[in-house]
Amino acid sequence: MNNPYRNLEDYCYWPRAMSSLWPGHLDPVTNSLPIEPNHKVATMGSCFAQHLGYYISQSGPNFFVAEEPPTGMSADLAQRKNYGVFSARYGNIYTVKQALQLFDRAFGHFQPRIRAWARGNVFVDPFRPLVEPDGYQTIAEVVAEAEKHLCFVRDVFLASDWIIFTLGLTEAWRSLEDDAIYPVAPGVAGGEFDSSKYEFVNFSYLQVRDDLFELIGKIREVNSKVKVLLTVSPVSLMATYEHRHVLVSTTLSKSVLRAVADEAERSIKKVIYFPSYEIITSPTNEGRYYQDDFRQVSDVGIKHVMRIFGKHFFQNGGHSSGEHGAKLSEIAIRNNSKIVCDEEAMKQAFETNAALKHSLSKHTDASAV
Amino acid sequence: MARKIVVTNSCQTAGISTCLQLIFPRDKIVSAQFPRVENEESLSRFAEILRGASHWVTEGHWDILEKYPTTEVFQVIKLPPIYFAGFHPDVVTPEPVNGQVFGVIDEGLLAGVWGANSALTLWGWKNGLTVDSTIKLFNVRNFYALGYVDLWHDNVNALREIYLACDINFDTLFNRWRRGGIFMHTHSHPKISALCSVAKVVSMKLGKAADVMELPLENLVSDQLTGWVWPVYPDIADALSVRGSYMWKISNKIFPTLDSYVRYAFRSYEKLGIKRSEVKCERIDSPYFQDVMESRA
Repeated sequence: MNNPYRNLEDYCYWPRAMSSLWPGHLDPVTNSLPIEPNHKVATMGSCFAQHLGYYISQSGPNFFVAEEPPTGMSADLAQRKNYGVFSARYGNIYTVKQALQLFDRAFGHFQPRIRAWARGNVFVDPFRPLVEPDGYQTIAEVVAEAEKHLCFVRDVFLASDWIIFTLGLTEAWRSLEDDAIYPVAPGVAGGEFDSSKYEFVNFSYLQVRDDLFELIGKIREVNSKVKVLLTVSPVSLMATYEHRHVLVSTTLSKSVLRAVADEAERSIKKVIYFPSYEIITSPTNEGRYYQDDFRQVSDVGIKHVMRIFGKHFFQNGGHSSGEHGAKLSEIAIRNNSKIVCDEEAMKQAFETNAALKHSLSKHTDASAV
Repeated sequence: MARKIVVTNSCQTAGISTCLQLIFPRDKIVSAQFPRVENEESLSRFAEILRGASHWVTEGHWDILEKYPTTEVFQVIKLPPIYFAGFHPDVVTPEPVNGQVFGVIDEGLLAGVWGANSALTLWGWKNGLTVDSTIKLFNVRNFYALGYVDLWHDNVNALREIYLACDINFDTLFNRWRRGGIFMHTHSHPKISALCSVAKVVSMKLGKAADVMELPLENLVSDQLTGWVWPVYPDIADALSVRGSYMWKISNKIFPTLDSYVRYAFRSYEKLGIKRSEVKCERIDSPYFQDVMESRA
């Protein structure tokens, strides 16, 4: 008897693609294009995106860093100041709206009213408060450095052959004045929380969808050749500001982001979804791809993701063994301790800032921002 | 009435027997090592152990019944031991030399020689490499070239055939083993979780219902096999997404680094006083292994 499921590829069947896998061999990629040796690959997104950037930087000349450290700066200082973590020093970009506003700021379409936050005796850039660890002495310095930085951001959008964007969150904080979106809540890594100035937002599917389509459309207007590789971060929310369990919020956020990525891949040419989220969260891993906090991804999991990424996107890919497999295995992954994560700042703030805790307790027990 | 159930399953016997005794507390579970030297007298003694048994759970040698028929009628349950090299593809067992096992000296429980050897170490020693040069053979390129990261599949298929021949649903068992990550201490020593699942499958053949599979026996018993631990080398572990190391345990003595293991193995080989040319090992003597090693040593 004929039926539509006959003659499908093995990867379409759970028993063939999942139940009988050897450990470490889950490979859910069915859509890829090769990253050519001369391609410039830019990365942006949540902390998980840093792993991809580091891996690409170790794999060859593809990793595009538009914002290089100034001549003469030591490697240690450059690392401390977060040069080379992403293609420009924008820090973590957790929401699609934040990425869209970054593009608009870089091309002069958006000028946020609040341009600096105080942090103790120094000032920080509210859109990347942890990138300059010691902060700046004056607001003018923050503004001047931001302008320089935005020139490099422009280069990233203009010159990249690939932009890898890891979608992280749907929850964010925004300015009531001009809708500016921040990577972390005011008061966590700078600024002061004031409910008359800032509000919480949890972007809906339609909002995220519209923002992503608009962002890709704008990038393509200035750079028609660019391919966009989307991933969804498998790192759970550090905290939710919704009045519900953090796991429920995490599931909602990741589901929205995943669904939007799917629609983008289906609807927009040269947009590919890379299923790192599925690799890490797959039940075949028995939770081994998470660290002991069940939130951060373990080195074993990251290595698996990078192995599959290299296999499908680097030249001579498609082999799991032999010289190519050995070469891929030799590429180091980024040590988790080196990952810069603004969300971690929330944890610190939650634990140390009694006043903030008091303020938050009025809203929800699980909230940290 | 209590049954007598004899279990004979190489070094895995103790763990399986202990589990079966927990599942069948009213029955008498008898662990029995099959005679190593198969002479008439020892085989006859072993046949005596089987006397009065209702079941014999055994890895093999079921033909003994034809030679030494017992008056009682008992059921034979065929149970192959778990040998699985997917995590430990570098282990080789050379042929005995003049009837003597060749391997690293076991100063502990066996007080003899452990026949499990690292193929790379043995090849290095046999071919006159220094310890330092031999250590350098342990690299990801050699592992890939020698097929170490691809052995998993073949090992699973081989084991499946053996288990199916014994009327045991291998895939159900194997999926359980796999869930615990590294389920072998060495290529021939399974961890207790694997042994427990095997014992549970046997218990179903002895009359238990399928829900016996959910009994958490692994929390209660020891596999008694942790005296020997072969590491899953880090690069192989990466390919299998498990945690790897170069930490050996030989008869309860720990060798915490690759360097310490290779040095100890070299010292052992020298102490045995056997000429390098006399050591025969199918894998490392194969043209393929030789070719790969000679092009990379």
